[in-house]
Amino acid sequence: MKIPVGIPVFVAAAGTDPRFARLVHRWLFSGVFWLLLGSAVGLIEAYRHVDPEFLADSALLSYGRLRPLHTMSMLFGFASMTLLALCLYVVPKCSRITMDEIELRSSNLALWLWNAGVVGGSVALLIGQLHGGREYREYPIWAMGLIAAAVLVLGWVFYRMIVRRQTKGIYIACWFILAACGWIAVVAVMGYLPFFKRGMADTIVQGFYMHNAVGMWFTPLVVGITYYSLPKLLNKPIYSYALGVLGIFTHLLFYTLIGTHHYMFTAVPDWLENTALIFSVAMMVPVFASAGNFLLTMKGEKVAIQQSYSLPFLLVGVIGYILASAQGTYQSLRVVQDGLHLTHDTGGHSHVAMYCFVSFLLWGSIYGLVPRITGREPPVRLVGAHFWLAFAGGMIMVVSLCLGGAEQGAVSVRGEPFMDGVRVVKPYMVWRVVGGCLMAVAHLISAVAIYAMRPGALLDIFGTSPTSSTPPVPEPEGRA
Amino acid sequence: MGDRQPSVLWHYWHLYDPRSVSPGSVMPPYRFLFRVSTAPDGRLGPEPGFNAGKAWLWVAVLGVVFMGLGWLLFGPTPTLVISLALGVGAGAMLIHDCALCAVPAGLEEGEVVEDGIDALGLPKDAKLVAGPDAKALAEYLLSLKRPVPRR
Repeated sequence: MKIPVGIPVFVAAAGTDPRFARLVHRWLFSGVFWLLLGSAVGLIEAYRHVDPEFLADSALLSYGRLRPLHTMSMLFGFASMTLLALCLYVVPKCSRITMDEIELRSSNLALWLWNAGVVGGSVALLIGQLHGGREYREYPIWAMGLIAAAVLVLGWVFYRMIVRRQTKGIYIACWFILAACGWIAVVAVMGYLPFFKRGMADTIVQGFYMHNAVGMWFTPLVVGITYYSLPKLLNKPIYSYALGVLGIFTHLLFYTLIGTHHYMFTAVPDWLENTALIFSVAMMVPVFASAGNFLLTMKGEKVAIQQSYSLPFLLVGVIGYILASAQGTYQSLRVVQDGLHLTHDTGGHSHVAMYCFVSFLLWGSIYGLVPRITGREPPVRLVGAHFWLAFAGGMIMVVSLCLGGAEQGAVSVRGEPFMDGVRVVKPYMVWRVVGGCLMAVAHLISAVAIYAMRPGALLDIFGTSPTSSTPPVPEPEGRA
Repeated sequence: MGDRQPSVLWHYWHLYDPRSVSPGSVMPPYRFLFRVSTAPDGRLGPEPGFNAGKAWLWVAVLGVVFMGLGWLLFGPTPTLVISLALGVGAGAMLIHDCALCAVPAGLEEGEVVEDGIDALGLPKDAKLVAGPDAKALAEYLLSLKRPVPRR
């Protein structure tokens, strides 16, 4: 079933180095593989809240081992790898250059280092080799070391491409992407330094690490990519470049200090908690600078959004950005956190942030941009099914978790027994499984759609090599 | 935790079958930390669920499938790089912690639970043997006391 749409992308993709298209698509498809694994594991976990005896006799699949497997394959498998695939697309495009031989080879090396890290880390989690019970850094240090090496290689590749750019200035997307590579290096090293692993220091570093793994890695990467993809897909300039600059510097200033707001009412010093609180409110500045910028760029483009299959993802993602950040700010206030902390509401918040915000912006950019270099569009009906299933599933999951968490919190605020809170959330757990099933089906569909976008055979005929040392690719007589 | 439930037996029951002591709980059971003995001389029965050999078999099978897919899709070099990294990682884990392969040996000297066996749905003359992990977990939970407020 082939549906003709819009511009013929194989024309747009003509002249693309086929090795570049293949590189981007490999990063993308690795991410999709981890998305499928993470969805399956997440479904098992969600169903266990309904029937705790499900697969209960297996040590390998016990709750404590699958939970980090779900979060880590989603964060470091799916989200990071697909984000980096798009960064490998955005940085050379913004710099108006093509990747040269050494950059292509280095990025390919980084791809396999990263995959080896995630494979090794996942196996380690399954056989019970955790890096302590520290959230989002459960991979053992050698697996995280492979991923860190990949980040270093890629950061260097991005830096090299930006240095040899053909434009006068550096576009804001490149600022965000390069900054994220530097920031995650600091955050990951802090998270794995051995002398911070005792007592209160471990807790404070845990807050710093887990908040900034999201706030200083996923957020700047995906916001940077959107600064490129949204104007590109709407075919108009971004509303305000200055707002973007305000966004990145206030992001750097305010995000770094808010990790401790996860540990209110603990032995963390009060001044540190209060600092985190103030900066959690100040965090609204970069959020509204970037999200407002995106919304103002979309203003008056209703028809374009209706007719496109990638822009609806971006619209949902931008609204998800605002909702996730606003929810984070109000949850950090002491009076709210007293009830909501340690309930299912936190799971709801993390799914708003990583799903409704990061993943939707990601998918919008994937479907909008990647066909321009691979020369193949995804089947429109599959993308539509993906959008509606993911949107409905995500909404069901997020709303049920947040409402269930609020009821649970109300039970604990009223001082009623703990088991009442468990009983109250039971129906919401069923709804979470329903939402999770819809999301998993959406992910299967997206895997098919993204496979359908694999680099086309036409690229090998019309693609050109970027370096002068290697001759252009066309060899019509050899292909018959 | 240690203040509310100061009995080590309660923690063993809770780990083996959470709903036997806390009706309506949604905690998954941790039966694989225990072994059940029904023989009169106290010999251990077969262990429930996965054992270390099976776990490694699964890892090996999944590894071979993943490698095969990688070879088909991306060619030999990346597949070999990943295999090498995995081998080094798995070797490091085996050297670092052999707890998984040492489970049967550790269980022989585990703690025996005899009281309240029938509430767990086991035969009356059965014995429940807590493995080293269950023992360490119960000891940790018992050590969690409310701090004494400073004046």
